[in-house]
Amino acid sequence: MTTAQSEHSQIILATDAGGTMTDAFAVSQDGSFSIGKALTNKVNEAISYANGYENAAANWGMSLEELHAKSIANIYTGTLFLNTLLERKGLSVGLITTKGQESMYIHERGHSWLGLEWEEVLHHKLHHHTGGDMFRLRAALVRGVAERVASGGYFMLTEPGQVKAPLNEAETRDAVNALLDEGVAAIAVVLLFSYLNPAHERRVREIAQDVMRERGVTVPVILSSEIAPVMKEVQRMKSVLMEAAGGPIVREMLRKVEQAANERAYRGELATMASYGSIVNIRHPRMYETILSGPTGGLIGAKTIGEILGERNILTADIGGTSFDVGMIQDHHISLRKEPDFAGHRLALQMVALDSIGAGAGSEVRVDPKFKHITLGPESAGSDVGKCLRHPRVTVSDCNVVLGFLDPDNFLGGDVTLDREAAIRAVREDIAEPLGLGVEEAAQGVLEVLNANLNHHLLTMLKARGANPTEWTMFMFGGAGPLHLYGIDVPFQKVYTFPFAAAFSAFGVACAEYAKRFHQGASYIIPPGADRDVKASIAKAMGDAYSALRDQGVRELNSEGQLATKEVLYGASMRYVGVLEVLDVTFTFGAVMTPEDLDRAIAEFEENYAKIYGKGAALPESGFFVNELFVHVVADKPKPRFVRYELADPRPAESARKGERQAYFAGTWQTTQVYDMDGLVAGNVVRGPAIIEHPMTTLVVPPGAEARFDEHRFIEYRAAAG
Amino acid sequence: MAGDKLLGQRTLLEQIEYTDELTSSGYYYGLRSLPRKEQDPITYERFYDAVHSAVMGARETSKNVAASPGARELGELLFALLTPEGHAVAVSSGLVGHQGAFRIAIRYMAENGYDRNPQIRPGDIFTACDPATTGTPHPGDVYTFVPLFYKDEFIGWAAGMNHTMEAGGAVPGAWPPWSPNTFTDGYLLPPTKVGEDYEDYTWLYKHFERRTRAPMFNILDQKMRVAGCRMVVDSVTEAIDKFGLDYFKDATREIIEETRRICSDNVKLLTVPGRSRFVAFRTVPYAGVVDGVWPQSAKNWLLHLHSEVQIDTREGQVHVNWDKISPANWHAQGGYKGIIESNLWLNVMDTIGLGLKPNSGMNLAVTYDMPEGGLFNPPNDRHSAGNPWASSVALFNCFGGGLEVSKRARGFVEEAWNSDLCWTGIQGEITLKNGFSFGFCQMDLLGASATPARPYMDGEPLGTAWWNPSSDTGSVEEWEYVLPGIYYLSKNVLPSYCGHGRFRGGLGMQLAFAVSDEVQEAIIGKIGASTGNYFTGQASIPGGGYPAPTSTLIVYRQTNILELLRQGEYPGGMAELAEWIESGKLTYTDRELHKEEVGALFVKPGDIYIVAGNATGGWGDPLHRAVDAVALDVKEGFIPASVADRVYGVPVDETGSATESLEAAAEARRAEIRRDREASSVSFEEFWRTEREVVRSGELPQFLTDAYAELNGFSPSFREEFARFWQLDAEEEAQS
Amino acid sequence: MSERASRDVLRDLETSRMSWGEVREILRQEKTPDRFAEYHAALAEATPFGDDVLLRLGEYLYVVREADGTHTVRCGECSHAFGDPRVNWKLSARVRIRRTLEEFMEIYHYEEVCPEPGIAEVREYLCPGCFTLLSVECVPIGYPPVFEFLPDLASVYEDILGQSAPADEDGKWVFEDRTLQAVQKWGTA
Repeated sequence: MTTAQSEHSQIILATDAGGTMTDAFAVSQDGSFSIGKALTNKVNEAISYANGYENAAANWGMSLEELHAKSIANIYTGTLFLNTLLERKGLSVGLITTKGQESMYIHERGHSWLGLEWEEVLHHKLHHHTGGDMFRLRAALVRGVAERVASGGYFMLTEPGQVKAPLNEAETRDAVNALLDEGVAAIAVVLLFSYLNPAHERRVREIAQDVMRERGVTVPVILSSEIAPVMKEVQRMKSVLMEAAGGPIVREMLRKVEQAANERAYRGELATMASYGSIVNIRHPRMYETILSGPTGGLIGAKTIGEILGERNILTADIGGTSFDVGMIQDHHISLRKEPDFAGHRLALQMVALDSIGAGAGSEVRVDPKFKHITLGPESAGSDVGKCLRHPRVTVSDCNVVLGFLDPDNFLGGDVTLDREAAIRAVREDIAEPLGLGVEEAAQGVLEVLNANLNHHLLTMLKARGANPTEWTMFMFGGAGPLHLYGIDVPFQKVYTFPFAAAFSAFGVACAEYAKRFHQGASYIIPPGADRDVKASIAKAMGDAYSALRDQGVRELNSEGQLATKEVLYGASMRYVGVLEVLDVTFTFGAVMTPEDLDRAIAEFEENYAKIYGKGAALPESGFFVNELFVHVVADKPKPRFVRYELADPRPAESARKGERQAYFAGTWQTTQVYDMDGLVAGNVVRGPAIIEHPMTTLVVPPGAEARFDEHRFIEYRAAAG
Repeated sequence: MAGDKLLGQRTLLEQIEYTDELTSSGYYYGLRSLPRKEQDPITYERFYDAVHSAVMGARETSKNVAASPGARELGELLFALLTPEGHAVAVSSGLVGHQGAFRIAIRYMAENGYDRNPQIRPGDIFTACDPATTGTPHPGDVYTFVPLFYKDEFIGWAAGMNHTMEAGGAVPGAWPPWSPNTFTDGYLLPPTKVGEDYEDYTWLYKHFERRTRAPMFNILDQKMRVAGCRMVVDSVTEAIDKFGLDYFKDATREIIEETRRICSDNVKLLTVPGRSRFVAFRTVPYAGVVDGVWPQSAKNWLLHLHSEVQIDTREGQVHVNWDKISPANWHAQGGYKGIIESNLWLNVMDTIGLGLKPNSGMNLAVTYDMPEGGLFNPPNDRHSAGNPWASSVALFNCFGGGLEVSKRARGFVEEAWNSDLCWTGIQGEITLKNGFSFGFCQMDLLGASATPARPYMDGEPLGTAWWNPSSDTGSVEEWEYVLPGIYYLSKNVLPSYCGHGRFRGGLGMQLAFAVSDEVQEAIIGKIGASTGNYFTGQASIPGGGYPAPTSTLIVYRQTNILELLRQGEYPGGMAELAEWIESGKLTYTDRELHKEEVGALFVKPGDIYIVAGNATGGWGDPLHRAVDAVALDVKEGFIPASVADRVYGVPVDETGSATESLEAAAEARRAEIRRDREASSVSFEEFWRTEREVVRSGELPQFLTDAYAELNGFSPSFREEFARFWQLDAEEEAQS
Repeated sequence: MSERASRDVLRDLETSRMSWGEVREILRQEKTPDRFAEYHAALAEATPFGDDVLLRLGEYLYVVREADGTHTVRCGECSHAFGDPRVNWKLSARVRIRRTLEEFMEIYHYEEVCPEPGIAEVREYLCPGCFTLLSVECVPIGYPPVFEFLPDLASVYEDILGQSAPADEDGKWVFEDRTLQAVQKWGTA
């Protein structure tokens, strides 16, 4: 699609390569953008990449080469990593672990239920270990070696990481040989407490390299102390296995794409997205950190726009066809999760805290005849929309058609025509009659269930952080975001959506920054009333660690395209001694270097802790424990800019009006104005009942509400004034 | 609140009696219809979502305050919204079963006029952990209640519970297995007001410090429960703002009745009517343990954990008859009503509880008889409830077994399995050289059992736990950090440690520990459920395969392990340990073996102890197992070739390579085993005659003679069946 | 469920010819009343008894309708008859007893986890026809056999099949445990 004619320059390319479709998104300096689509070529994504931009460029009347020549950044995200593992196409990995822990991959510490809904977790027969399936592990590929490192538990005199049993080098040689005999393509090393002392893991790699030299082979050796140096061995193992099995394959494919871009006159290097919401060069050494890439875009877009609007605290909902993803930005920071459950595995990985709920605009609607429950999803109609098109079962979309919210003749810009009669029949027979309701009532009921679901997840997310909705702003996007916007009944201070809601994630990717995030397991105990000397020595140790991590970040960023470091954030995972849950605190003052810094760090930790759990939960008398240090190194990158428009008259131009139709609001059919989204300009205010249509989305404005296009053409949804 | 009438015109006790009266109609609160739901099912569901997300949110947030790995790592906690009578309306994930027991504490407070003194006011905190008065199954389970007021009207409770680290009993841990009576169970609080305005009184923390061995953990867990209850109160109040108080009052009742109905309909839908019986045995050897002070406990008991399940598909009712259970006695494996209510609910959930809103309605779909004086209905409140989870899980596996058999018979193959889940707890007290001393209970083998074998697949290691649906055993790194001084030598599956069958039970685990030289002295204990002790996990199981082997604790005294560690060597598990002992590489002075539960063993630096547990039983005849499945088991090291040949009739080599010829070889070997079965078996009648002689002639070991005498003396129905089955005359009956 | 859990699906499930993904699907589907009939159809095909099979008692044993209208417990492998379902079928089985540590270790492999010799005994109940292992008990010496499942055939007919209860030698079929009467016949000679 195109926007008003403009000189497209300083273009940023952002690709989202899904399992079936590849979205090629190009955004120009002035914020105008173009989207091209292509079928994903699983053998060589470089081809689908080129096809996608061929047609994105065409929208702007450019050639593929022109587009690339004018591009200043190129970010490629997708599902390749995940699919490689799900389809069990990863490299054959051998695992070396601490002797006595060899069946870690089988018992998974009991995590046989990850990925199930709560109701399913209660249904014990659904519990099943995915274990090594994804990595094709079997007994012959797992070897234990004797070695022991002390935990540094907080009651002890023993130094954390002190060696209790030296690495058994003979066993290590045997293990390496055995794995090479099995023909492994990579060796993963996960030893207990290696995050406190990596010496044994490093020695394993040296020995492995010796053995390989003797045998004249080379396979990569991946250490947990380098990939994910944090506590909890099973999560760490999963992360290392992912890196070992999928990393090289993904990196190779990304190189192909970069080559294709360079051949098309793109001068820079290709980047991709890390799960913690930053761009990393495709030479990034921890490729598994990109396993969740595309979906993080929405949060980055929200963060960027939040900065323009001066909104510190934002809740986001990305409403798609099969699910909705809820995320949050607090004090301008995207909330992260330390141990995300992903694809049935619990990982040691910083991942943006996105809660994905398996119900969306295309979800199937099921009514339990006996107990009259309405349930949505997890199955979804996808491009079959619903019974109003060619899906065999009734869906949420059918309900939106029945109520007049979706225009059967103008769905996806009129590409397909929907059958309203079929939708009505479907809702009557499959929902209304079993529930003993009228057709409209039933359709509205289904949408209420979806909305209630959304509202409760938004509230739970806020509560989990002790946050008050009235201090928060809501951003709603995704293809169906504007369609369900009216359903929000959490008292946010403001609610926004966007004309480009359907492309918001891709837009967000284009807004992302280059950054490196490092987490380093640690074990510093600050006893209650510790004297200055104790604090000084801890502060010194922390300072040294921080400097080392910062230097590594700067080094990596330089080596990956000479990026100038813009900002460095320092923080720590801390807890009261005794408490197991850690709290990540990003310090407002920088790194801890002095005893005074340490006092400030403790103060900021206590402040955050009280905010979430209440003052009563504090336990300063037991002392403090620093369990992890983290550093976030940010480099500069061009971002799309937003044009500031002159504010026009609130009344939309006649040309923006497409006519009117009947829509069902609050129990009655009402005559509803229909507008063309692209015809509405900054300053316009559309009062409900109204429907604003766009080829890729539909915004519903019920009576009593209004949509205001601000100076950036962001749409503020609010109660109608006066 | 006005006067002593907590609920407008009624006291709390009057309210409970009023509700019980209504419910005696067979419908919860007398609700023959569900008007709120029927008039507007959508609003009704939205209301449930609101209160359910309130308790879920409270759990997710507050557990982060917790100290004990049980709560934090393993999710061993629960939050719930209760009616004024203590009936659960909505529960969080976690230790869901306890919702069945909350009402016992509430009733106790009502019966003792707590609404007058000490009074029940907004923000008050009530905590309880005394099994006899509060429904907490054992001292380690602690409940906290905060009243729910809307405006100034009392309308229910927020409840939170978790499994704490240490209960302060005569022996350290959360489940003292050596406890002759309630006075040795530990720090037991009857329902007690321990704070107000959401703030605990200082004295409570001081009690934890003085009367338990893990005060810091217990204090933080209390803070966690209070924080969570407060979140429940706040969220539910918001929901009432939205839906209205009258709606809240009606809908909360309807939600419970709806659940009762679904449960009852599930009985009609999923089961075959009839009677099933399963039994488990456990031994409780106290002789020589506490004799001096408590002579009434100077004996060894055999526990008869017999469940008879009667299914009525016309009424949609399940009845459990425990008339053959052992009597309560002066040991720690009995308990009070709470343990029954908790277990019942947990078993119902995964059987006839599918597809409903989990809450107290489920308890109404099952009735039971626990005889006066029976193991879980003691004649007085002086009996110990130190370790009832051990015996009751075995008892309820028997209850579950009845439902599994019945579901399979009805054709719900996918829903059937052996129902022989088990857990093994390690607990004790560690004193470090630096003088620091702490009690603990380690949940490596509590967080998950192996899953049982099913009619269509093998069980899996550490796969599930009906007492903790989101099963988790924690990480070695977290446990060693919390319990320093004890090194894991192994946390692995133990090959061939399962009940065999056409489908194998899930392999059990082996945990091996070395006591390091940072330790001054340590006390360890081992307890567990369905560990069988001198028997198998269950006496027999629905699938008919071999029941699970028992759990065990093996201690090697004064080994050279610390020296070996310094040289970079240690045994990775039981197999290697045996080899090293054989070869003299590992030396020790004494070896102790404990299949039974142990309250307190002293261990010192250089000692090794091994705990094996959590295996489950098999389904069907091992000779019917697919040959390639057996070969794969050998290849993956799940069973040795010797077992493949002897038990499964598959003469495969150690590489486990399955070939055409292997199929043929297996056929021959299996025919041979069948012939051996023929040769080594007798007709049941013949067996009956010889076994009968043993019973009549008093050739039985004294332990069994005493056990049968105790059962015959307590249970008339057991006595009658026993005597008539063996055709004992009156005199023989008297002596046996 | 009916669309998926057809007779064939149930048979495939029991012969474990299904991926976990397929099993999970079946577990997730709504349970419907037609299951009993579907399973009956599957058993009619999988057992020697055809339509005469009424009920599955366990992995190998079935309640079968006889020509004379009575019901018998039979082995699905060899059709061996165990008699009236109201009598514990174990009385008609062969039984192998394990009592020593050596005998226990043949099955339980590790001495440390075996039942206790001298107190416990392991009973393997075998089909006299084909010597298939039907059930295993580990109980104290002298403990009567466990009667695992006594179905109420009258209710099965009336509540599930919607038919009238089967006749009995003396009129209406009575739901009761007749094991002790059966033992009585062995007398004390």
